[in-house]
Amino acid sequence: MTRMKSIVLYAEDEENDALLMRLAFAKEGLAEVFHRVSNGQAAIDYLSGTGAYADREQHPEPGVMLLDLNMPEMDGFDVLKWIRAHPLHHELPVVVFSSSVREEDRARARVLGANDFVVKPNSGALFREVARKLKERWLDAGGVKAGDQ
Amino acid sequence: MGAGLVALARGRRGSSYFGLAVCLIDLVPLVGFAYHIEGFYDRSRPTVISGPTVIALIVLGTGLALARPAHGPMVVLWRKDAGGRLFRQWLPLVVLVPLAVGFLAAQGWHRGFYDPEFGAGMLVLALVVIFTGLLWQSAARLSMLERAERRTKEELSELSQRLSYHVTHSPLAVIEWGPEMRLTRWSKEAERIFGWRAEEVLGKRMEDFRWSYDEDRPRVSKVSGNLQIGTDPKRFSANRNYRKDGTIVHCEWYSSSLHDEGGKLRSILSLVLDVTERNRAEAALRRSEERYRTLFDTLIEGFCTVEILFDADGRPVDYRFLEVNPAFEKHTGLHQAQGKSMRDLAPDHEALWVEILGKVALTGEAAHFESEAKARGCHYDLCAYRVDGPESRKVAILLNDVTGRKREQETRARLAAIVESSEDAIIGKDLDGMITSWNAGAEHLLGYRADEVIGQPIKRIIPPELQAEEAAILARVRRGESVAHLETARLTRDGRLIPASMSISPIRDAAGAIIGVSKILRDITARKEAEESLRESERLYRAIGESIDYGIWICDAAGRNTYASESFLKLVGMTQEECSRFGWADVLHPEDAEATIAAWKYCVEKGGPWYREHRYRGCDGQWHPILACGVAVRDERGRITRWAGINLDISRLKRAEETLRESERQFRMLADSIPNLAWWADGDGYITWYNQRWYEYTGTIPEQMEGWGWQSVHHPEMLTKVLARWKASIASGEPFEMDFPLRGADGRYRWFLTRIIPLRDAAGKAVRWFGTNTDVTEKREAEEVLERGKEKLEGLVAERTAKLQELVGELEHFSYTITHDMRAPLRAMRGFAEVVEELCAQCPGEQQKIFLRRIITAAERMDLLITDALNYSKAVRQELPLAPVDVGRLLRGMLDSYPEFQSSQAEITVEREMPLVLGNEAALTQCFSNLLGNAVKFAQPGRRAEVRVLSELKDGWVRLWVEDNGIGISASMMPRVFDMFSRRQGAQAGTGIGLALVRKVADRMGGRVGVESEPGKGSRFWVELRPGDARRAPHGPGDMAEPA
Repeated sequence: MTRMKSIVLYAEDEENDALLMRLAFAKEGLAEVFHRVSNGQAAIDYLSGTGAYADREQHPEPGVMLLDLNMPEMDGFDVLKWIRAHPLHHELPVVVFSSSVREEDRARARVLGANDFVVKPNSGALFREVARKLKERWLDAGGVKAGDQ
Repeated sequence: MGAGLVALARGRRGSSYFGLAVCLIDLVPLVGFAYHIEGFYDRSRPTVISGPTVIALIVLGTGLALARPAHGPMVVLWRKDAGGRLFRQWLPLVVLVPLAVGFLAAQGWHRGFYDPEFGAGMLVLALVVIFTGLLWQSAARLSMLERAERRTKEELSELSQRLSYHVTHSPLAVIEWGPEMRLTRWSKEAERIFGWRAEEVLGKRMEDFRWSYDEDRPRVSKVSGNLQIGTDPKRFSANRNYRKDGTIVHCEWYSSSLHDEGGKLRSILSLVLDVTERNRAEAALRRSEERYRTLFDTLIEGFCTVEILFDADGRPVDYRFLEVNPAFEKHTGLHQAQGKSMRDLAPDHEALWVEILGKVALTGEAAHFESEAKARGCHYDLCAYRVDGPESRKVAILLNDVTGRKREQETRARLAAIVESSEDAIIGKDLDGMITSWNAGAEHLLGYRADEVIGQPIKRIIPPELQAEEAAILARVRRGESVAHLETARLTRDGRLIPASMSISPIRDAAGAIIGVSKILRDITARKEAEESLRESERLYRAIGESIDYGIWICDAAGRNTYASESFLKLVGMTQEECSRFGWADVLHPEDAEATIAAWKYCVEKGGPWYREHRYRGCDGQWHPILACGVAVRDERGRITRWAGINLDISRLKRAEETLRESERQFRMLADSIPNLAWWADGDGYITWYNQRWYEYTGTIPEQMEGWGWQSVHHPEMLTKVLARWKASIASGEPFEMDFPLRGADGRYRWFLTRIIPLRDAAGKAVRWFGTNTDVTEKREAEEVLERGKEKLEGLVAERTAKLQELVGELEHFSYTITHDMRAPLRAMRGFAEVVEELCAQCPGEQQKIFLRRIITAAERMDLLITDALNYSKAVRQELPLAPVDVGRLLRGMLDSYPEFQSSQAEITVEREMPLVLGNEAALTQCFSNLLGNAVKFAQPGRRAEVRVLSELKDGWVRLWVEDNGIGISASMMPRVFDMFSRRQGAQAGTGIGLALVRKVADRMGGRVGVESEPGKGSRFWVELRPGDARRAPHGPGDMAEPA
């Protein structure tokens, strides 16, 4: 039995969205649960525990990943593919968090194994709701296996 | 001991008793030693004995007792039955337990543990226990044995009953003799066969009554003796016996004897079968067989039996001869056929035979047929029937060579057919004039049926005036003469008199005596009519000849005129005699005379047809052009017998020719003066004339161009096509029109439009073609310039369209990206404004809070605008597959899931029965969310929105109404209400995209939208779509609604 995985890893290049989400987690009293990486490559480094993320005490393994799609160089789809192909992390729950309303993006995320797809809200209050639901559904309930829809 | 040994040595029974006695005697001192009973071994007594001696004697005694286990008392010990087992089980206990108990009692007593009475008591107790046990065991065994015995008796009894039943009911007689050969059993069947009842014979010996047949008696005695002494314990014999009534019965005897261990006879059992009938039948069969064999060998018809051979599918393929009689070989010529198959003997044998015989073998139905054996050239009459039952597949065949009869029949049939098919009436009669035969030709010619006239006098068909002729003919025939082709007449049934040609000949019998007359009548009505017709025809032709100018003429083989029409003689003013003396040559035009006379001589000499125009001088002094034509008339051998022909007055024709020539001259002048090339062709396309312009342009001369010579001025690449088209026109008679180049005199090609039209005869057939070639080179060049311009223009348009499409794609992408990317800063603006608003909630300064709220509201509005714009662009771009949609269900689902449509905010009612419409569910959802959203949004201030959704069928459309009681739309706004960015005034102004989106999706679904409104009272928006029932329910992916 591994140590309880109780953090949310948020991969987002947009500073404003990252800050709003961080504030939302803080408002919900979940500041310590929130970890953010600023692009796709960093997300992979974090999960692999390499480079700046080698210290697992400081950068514990996440219980769920909140993943933006539109990121420079390595986008959210690439990260999702990497996770589902990884022998250790292929069961990590991944919630895609994007401002895209395109059905093809949603369908592609579903095919690649995203557990959920949340459209970025345009209100701070709704950011807080996203934070709360993430905690309730993926961390408190102990998570659901990847692929469960 | 000694006595025992002697008995043993002699094999007597006593040895065991002696052994047991020794053991018992020696048991006394042994018990004495064991229990210290001095009285049992007192030295003072004569029976004194030492311990070892005692033991030795006991061992010896036991051995003696056991030495003959099968005899004496020891038998019980070794038996395998219940007694033996009981004895063996209990013997050690009976011996050892009293000894041990006695020993223990004695020891205890000696050692003073208890007194002798106690010891005796114990001993008695032990003995009681042992004997009780022994008794119980014996009783149990006895009970068990008794039960087993009872059961066995029951089984035996049942067995006996069964046996008795079978003996009584056996189809064989059962007879049993006892040891003394006296009858002990005599079954019912024996009573039936032999006539004696059981009580009459039981206890008697065989010779006690007259039973054995005298002749068979020695044999019976021998068999009986063998059975009695057991040398032949099982025996089958067949012999005769007397019945009680003295008659003889044939029997088969199956006997067996039973002897005891000592070889003594205990019983003989015989099973007897009455075979009298069978023997009789067999004898009859043998006799029958002999008769059959005799018949077989002496039969005149061929006879054989064959086995039909079938292939794997059960089809008959061949047959094998099993037996054949001598006549068969004679009839068929097949020698030593027995055992061989028909295909071996005659590979080409007719399959029909195999087929028929196979059918006989399979069905058992006898067949009688006639067939030919081609290989032998013979006809056979066959009768086939199955023998030996269905499984045998054997067929017997009786066959007769009927070739001679067949040929005779055929000959007769042929003759009869000839007579029957003859168109002539063939009638037979006897010498008394009575009709004996009457063929179909006679029926047809004279109208009487054969059955009506046979046996009747021939006079019926002879007219009264010719009866005498008949008598004369009969007289001639009696003399043996024949009459050929006598022309006479006969009466038909309906009284008509028909002319007939008659041939008569006598009919003779085998001995050559005349017995009748054969008469062949031929109807010569047609011939008579033809002759009359010919005469009529000649009169007719002569009349025709006289009616035309200048009639007909006939000359003899030498060319001398023998007949000239009246009209001709009149024209030239001469008599027939003058004309016959070549007077006609004198009145010929001097220019024609010499040539015509020479030509006529040549024609008569060569026998060729005569066709010549020449002029005669008439009585009126004028020259008359005449066309004379005629042919040689030949006899059957081809020799010219005369000449016949007509003289035609062609003066009018000549005048017409002159007119035509003039007309043609004028036409040619005209044709030569036009700028087009022109020409004439025959009906078959052969060109006979070109205008001058043609020769000028092509630089050719008429000889080069005549017929099909025009091909030389065509372009080689086009020529094939032109020829094909031109020939097709000639074949179909349709006009021809085509552009092709023609080479000019300067060697350069110019393009000509060629039109050819047919000139048709009265039947519509093209008899001549008139063609013109019009120079269209300049026109074509102008067209080519135009065509090149057009191609260039089309290329340009395609290129620009592609560029435009690319641009539209880029624009779409750009608009999507910009709207999408614009949302990120907007989200930040709004998010952070909300954060600041929250932080400042407790701070003073209302102005800042108002401004913050304005920022948030503006951002919200901006977001709405972007969402709508995105939806609009999606509605424009995306594919909208159409399928029947239940609008009622769709609307009720929306009302349940959209919070703004909940009844607390507005009252929205949807008509209960909504029809199906042909649409796209996602697009309809967008459409109605905007219409319902507007209805709620633009409610009267302070009044709850009341919205109703209704449907209506109108001119093949479904019109869906969304009615509200809101603020309505001003008249000035009405024309622009569905335009992009056109907004209404109200508490919550929209983005101006919603209704534009409604119109766009309705349009994409093939529908229409509209609105009726009255400001201050409400609006009625409608969407019209095609009904969903008109189309079949969705069944393929292409028809499926897009997932919502």
